[in-house]
Amino acid sequence: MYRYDNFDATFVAERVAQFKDQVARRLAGELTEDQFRPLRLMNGVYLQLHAYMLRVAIPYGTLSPRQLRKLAHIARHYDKGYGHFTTRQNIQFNWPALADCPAILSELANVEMHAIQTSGNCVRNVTADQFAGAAADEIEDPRPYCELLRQWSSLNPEFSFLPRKFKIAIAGAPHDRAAVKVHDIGYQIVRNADGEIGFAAYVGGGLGRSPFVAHKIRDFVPKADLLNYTAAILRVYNLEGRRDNKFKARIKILVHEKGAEAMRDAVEAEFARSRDPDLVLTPEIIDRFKSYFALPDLPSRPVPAQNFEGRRAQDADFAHFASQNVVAHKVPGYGVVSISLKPIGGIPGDVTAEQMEAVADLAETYAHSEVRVAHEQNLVLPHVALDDLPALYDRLKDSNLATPNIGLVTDIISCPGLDYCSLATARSIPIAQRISERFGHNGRAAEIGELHINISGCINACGHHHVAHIGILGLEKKGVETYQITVGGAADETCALGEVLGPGFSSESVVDAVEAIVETYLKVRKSRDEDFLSTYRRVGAAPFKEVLYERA
Amino acid sequence: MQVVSASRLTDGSVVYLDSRGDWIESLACARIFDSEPDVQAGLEQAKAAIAASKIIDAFAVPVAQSADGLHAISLRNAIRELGPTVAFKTSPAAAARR
Repeated sequence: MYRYDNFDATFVAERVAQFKDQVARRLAGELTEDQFRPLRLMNGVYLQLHAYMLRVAIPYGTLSPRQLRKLAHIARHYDKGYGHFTTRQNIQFNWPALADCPAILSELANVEMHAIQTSGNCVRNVTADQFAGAAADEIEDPRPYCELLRQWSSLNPEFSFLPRKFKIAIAGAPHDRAAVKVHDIGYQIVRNADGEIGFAAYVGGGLGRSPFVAHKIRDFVPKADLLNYTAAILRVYNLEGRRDNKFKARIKILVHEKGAEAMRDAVEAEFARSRDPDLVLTPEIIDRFKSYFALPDLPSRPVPAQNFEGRRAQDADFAHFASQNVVAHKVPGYGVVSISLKPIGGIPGDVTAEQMEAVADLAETYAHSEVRVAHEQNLVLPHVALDDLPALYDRLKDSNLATPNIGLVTDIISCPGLDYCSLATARSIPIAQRISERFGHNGRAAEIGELHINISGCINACGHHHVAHIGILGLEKKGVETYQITVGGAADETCALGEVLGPGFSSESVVDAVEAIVETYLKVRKSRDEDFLSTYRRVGAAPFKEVLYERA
Repeated sequence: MQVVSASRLTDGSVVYLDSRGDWIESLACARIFDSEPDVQAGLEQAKAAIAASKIIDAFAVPVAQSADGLHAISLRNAIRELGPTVAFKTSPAAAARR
């Protein structure tokens, strides 16, 4: 992974010292809250319902065991012993004291981490496919390009005060695991007719109160032009994006109002006008950044893997885990292992300090010291020899981390909701927990098959409800929580926004409503091979509307 | 019936104004304001505490007496008062420290 050079280390250390002084002046009353708020937000410190919240950037979701142990240490010594992985591959601590935040940031700096640009109207953490560098279907690892974008956009003075926050994601495989079409800019790594690798550019996607699927404005951006093309998009947005209304300030509104064709023309004109030779990515630069993310030296392993096959034949639980949580690696004999942070009835994305340390140990023992965070709020060990999988599975079970439910109905994305968040209008975690309990026993989730449920506790949609197969949006009506259900959304390369089924449901009835939708799906699917989304795309929303509203 | 609440500057904890002018963690022991002019007087006290860098983000919270005491009426303020409604997992060391 990328390692800080002297410039980076000095820069982050100076930033910590600066913030330490700012916090001291705030606590001494020398700065007002109005003066201090933007300073703390620039360092990832928010104020939530019960306490401050510190959001720490995990660039493109890649962590070393050393970094994960540091996050565990911070959870244990400065917080309440746990952290919460977010839908942007970051981690949030829910209970830090303001006075401790400079010390926490100093500890993070020691492991080459920070919280810079985890808030504010700037380019946020550039996210990537959590299987980057490992997946069998990958064209190329997106992380070198994420890192280039990160370095270029970190405190870039031209783009530090955009009309609104700006999120970029890069997917490296045809199967989009990074939800690129619901980002301000989504780059999909592609191969053109000449066999060259570059980027398809999508612009203007986003969720929130006005959800849009991004428009493709270029089929192929050569690698050399990645920074210049991104700069052209940002420049058009910076000049033309609305600053009069916060709710209309994201680039998706500009693209929607201007039109994708006009946006494409404006970006191309800006690109032609301002292409900066200093920003051209030479093969030497690209190779240097690729070297930071080189595939570890994976010793040759026998195929088929006898340990793995033997255990799979004897142990149905292990076989289920292997089929649900392990996908093909680009190197035969290896697998990419997802660690579900969705125990049945648990809080999506929450992980204790002890579990973080356990994963760090397992990454060192079995996964070439790499850990990833998925935007679905799970962890990933990207390089595991299949013959090691039985031992890894047993140790994951010891730490309650072996829930075999990746992609199933109990693998629910959920924002923190009204239990923590000052923006939320309804709770989301308790709904996720009850749905998980409802479907999480007796093999029911496996019988249902792939089904993504996402829950947001307000219209800002941090829980990505618009792009769920079944999406749940928590709102408040006359002082009471109410939950609106959508169906048919998708975050992958077939990206679509869900369709609202009808009036919302109470907290008491929403889980029954989800169950009614699932039962209807089971009745109308052609076979077990037709998953929920395929069934919806064949039959539409009518059967689900009928079961929820017309029979009542 | 209302109380005045805020977040404590040092740690962001939820606090309430009591009858001695202190900012305390227990809503049950908070000063109750029965009229709008009294609420405004409480919010003026809060402004002074904000200026003194003790608290931030003060506002009035409607409350009601119930069988088990005084509580915030809205769900949002009840969650601020009582903490998350979900049982988050904590590590023993962190729990002991706090």
